[in-house]
Amino acid sequence: MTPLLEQFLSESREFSQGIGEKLMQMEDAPSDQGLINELFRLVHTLKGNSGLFTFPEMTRVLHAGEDLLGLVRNGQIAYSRELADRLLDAMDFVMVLCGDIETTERIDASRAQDSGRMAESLRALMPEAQTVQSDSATNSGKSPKATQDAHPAELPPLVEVPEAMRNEALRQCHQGETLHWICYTPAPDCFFQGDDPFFSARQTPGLLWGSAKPTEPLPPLAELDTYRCLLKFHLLTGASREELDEHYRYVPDQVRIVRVDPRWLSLSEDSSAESTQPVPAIPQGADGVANLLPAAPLQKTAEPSNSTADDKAAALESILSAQQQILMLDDRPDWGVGRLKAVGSVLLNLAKAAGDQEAASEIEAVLAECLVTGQSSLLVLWLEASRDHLIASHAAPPGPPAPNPSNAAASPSKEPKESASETDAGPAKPATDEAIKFGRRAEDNATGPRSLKVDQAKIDRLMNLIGELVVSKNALPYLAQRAEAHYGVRELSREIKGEYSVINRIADEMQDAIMQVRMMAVSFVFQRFPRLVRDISRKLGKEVQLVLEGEQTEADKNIIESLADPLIHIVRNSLDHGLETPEVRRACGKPEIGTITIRAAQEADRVVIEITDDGKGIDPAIIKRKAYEKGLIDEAALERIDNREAVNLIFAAGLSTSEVVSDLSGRGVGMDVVRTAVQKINGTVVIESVLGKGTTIRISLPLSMAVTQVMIVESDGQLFGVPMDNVVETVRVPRSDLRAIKQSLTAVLRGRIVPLKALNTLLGISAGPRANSDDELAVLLVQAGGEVLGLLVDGFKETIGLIQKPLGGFLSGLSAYSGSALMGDGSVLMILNIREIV
Amino acid sequence: MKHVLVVDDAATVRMYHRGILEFAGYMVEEALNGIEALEKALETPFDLLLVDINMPRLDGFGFLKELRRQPIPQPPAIMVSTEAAAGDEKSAYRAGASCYLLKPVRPAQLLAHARLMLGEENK
Repeated sequence: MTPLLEQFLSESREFSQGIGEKLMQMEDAPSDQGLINELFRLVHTLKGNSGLFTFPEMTRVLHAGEDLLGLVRNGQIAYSRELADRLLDAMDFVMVLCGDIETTERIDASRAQDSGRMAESLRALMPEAQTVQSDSATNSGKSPKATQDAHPAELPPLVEVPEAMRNEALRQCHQGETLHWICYTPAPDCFFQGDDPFFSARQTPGLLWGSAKPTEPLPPLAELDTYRCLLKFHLLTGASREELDEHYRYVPDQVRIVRVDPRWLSLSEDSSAESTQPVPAIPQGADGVANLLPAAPLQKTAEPSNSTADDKAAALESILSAQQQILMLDDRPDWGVGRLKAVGSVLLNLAKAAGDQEAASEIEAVLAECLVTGQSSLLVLWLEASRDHLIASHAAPPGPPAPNPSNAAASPSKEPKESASETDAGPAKPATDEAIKFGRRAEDNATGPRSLKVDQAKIDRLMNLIGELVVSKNALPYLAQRAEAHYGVRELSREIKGEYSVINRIADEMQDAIMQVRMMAVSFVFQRFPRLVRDISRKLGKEVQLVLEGEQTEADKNIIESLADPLIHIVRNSLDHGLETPEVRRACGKPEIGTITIRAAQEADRVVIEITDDGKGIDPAIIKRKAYEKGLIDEAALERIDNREAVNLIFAAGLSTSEVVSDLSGRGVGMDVVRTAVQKINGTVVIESVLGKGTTIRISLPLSMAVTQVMIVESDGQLFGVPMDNVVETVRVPRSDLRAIKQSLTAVLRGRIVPLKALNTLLGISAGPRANSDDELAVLLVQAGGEVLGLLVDGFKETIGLIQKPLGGFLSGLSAYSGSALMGDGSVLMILNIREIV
Repeated sequence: MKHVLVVDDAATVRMYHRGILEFAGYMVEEALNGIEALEKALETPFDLLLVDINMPRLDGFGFLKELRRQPIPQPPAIMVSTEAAAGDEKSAYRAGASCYLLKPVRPAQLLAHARLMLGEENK
């Protein structure tokens, strides 16, 4: 994929998204002129971009959208929800097309129809006058058939054949030859069948005369679908029926072959004295007709081969007439002098380009005069007098004879250089369109929004490297220790420690900096909610207002990205089960429009996201009953748990509280999905609900997953890391205080019975827990899935922050460990996955 | 080497125009809107401007008017637009554009205009 196409895709997506957001904002402020202008600009630009490529499906839809918004902008039609809906659909469609282009670099052929429909539905919102041009584009699918079937018995329109040809044909008929008239209307999608109708027509045996005409008025160029065949061919041939049947054997349904009756030729000769006129029998014949003589190969008449010279001549013409128009302007703005100077620069450059020094000095003199008087009339006069001369001197120089003496005289020394550049530019120019390379440069980023798009893998690599740096730097204290203890050089030891503190600081800052790079605002996730809420609430017949707060709150990219799904689930639930319909809300004395608030904020080293709705809340009694029915809690628990705990049971697997299973929230899979997703990124989720008032779900997430705080514990002589998120506290329990209930060990800690498990047992290590000299056992209280459990270990070590690396290769199947980390002394620390092992 | 300033809010269009102009050996600088363009144009003299009309903050008309008010050498400006309306063309001239082209500009067409406006001897 070329960089230009890549750029186009990324910009198109950005713009479609922006358009969606603006449309959403307009729902609240339908008459905000600034918004409408901005919206129009976005669609306009997007359409302009698509015009650089051959994506008629996209251009067509965007063109319709632009026209529609243009009318809104001018106040000719009012903004409406329906209008927003259709434009949003159109933007979705553009996204789909972008997807096509991304995968195959072209738009799938099947989209043409959707595109037509989409453009049509947009144009349907416009007042009558604006829709006319599109009509032709949409009913085209049927029209060729219609024309074909409409007059099978009618006389072939032989009148369109030039008189001389007709006479010749008539002569051949009289000599006993049989002529055939062919009406070949290729199917609109024939290109996709591999047909080349133009070629087929040209190769028609015995071709005497032919014409190609559009089957319908051609749509505006921007809307023209180049993958549809809109041509029909009329051919006159001297070949036999058999030959023709053979030639058109693949498309028998698209050709009509009629034997020419000589009388038609003579009849038509009589009936149309002015046979060169367009014939009324072919109403579409007037525009875009390409008459083809048998001698000349069928050829597109536009596209002259000498396009560069033509381009230059056209450019010169257009520039000159523009200057004339500018000079003729009768306004007197305060920038008039600058404008005049600009005209001077242009004319001067035109003269220079022609190598016409004489003209150049004339212009300089005239311009100076004009600038003094502030009048442009002198320049107008000069231009009128010299225009033709200027054009002539432009046309002259490329030829070797150099007929313009002033040119030759003025720059004799430049001749060799000129001809050299001529030769290298000559062959290059026709290839211009292909040879140009579109590339991104550093400056693109400098002029764009001052941010950089970087592949995440690169950042991850940087992160890993810094992780390793942090680890390697930790070797220095060991080295200092060895220097002193082993080699007895205390001085060196101190110096190493000094260096270490410097490196340590820099490494810390680096780590911090790279974490900042990975930080992303939650708005990345939030931005999709306005659309989501709008669509779902519309579907459910509810009126909902969405409030977003703290969108600028930042967290690590991974955290933010994994937040999306749980949040969508929660919001859907709120819309589906939380908020009531307007009627119900009115009956309850609530405002008809419900509110969902999504609020993000940073609290210490965590990001907290709250989703609040003012819906009907969750009835703890129902939850309890359902949980009991499903066997999630026993009878004792049913009595014991309070309302708060009961509501949080909603996160238990397999519990769905909705009385009606709706198509939005699905069946059975409920909030447990949310909890699992949140826990995966070391987050917690709690719910609070007041019956009849509403529900708040609070998700708390770490700011970053990059650095994990772990406590190091020792067991059977090995060190293990336990994430601090799991650690509740560390205690030492005298062996005598341990109680065995059935097979399991327990201890009473802070008035609660806590089950105890030996880490060794959980990891399959045979050694038993070791007690210290006072015969106390080290117990690490951990929490996993809301339960607290005591892990019996041999001893506690320090708590450190480290960068966890996931286990790779053969080790990746080990679920007992969430990862590993390199320690300063080069050893590897395995980090326990507490939830898995208990 | 000739300096060209490409002013357009669409990155795709900027890249397209840049590609064409760099192919022809010009140095290209970009600006996202009229304000940025004005800042750049006042900082460095450009030999040619390629200006879009519809842009945020300051549109092409506004930019050209302001530029033409400045007591500096005035470079030619090609106004590039999708608006085919004749009124727009007139407004472009009024604002100080030197010529008016419709998007998408063909590479050969753009280069033909640029070469002439830059006073490059016939190549």
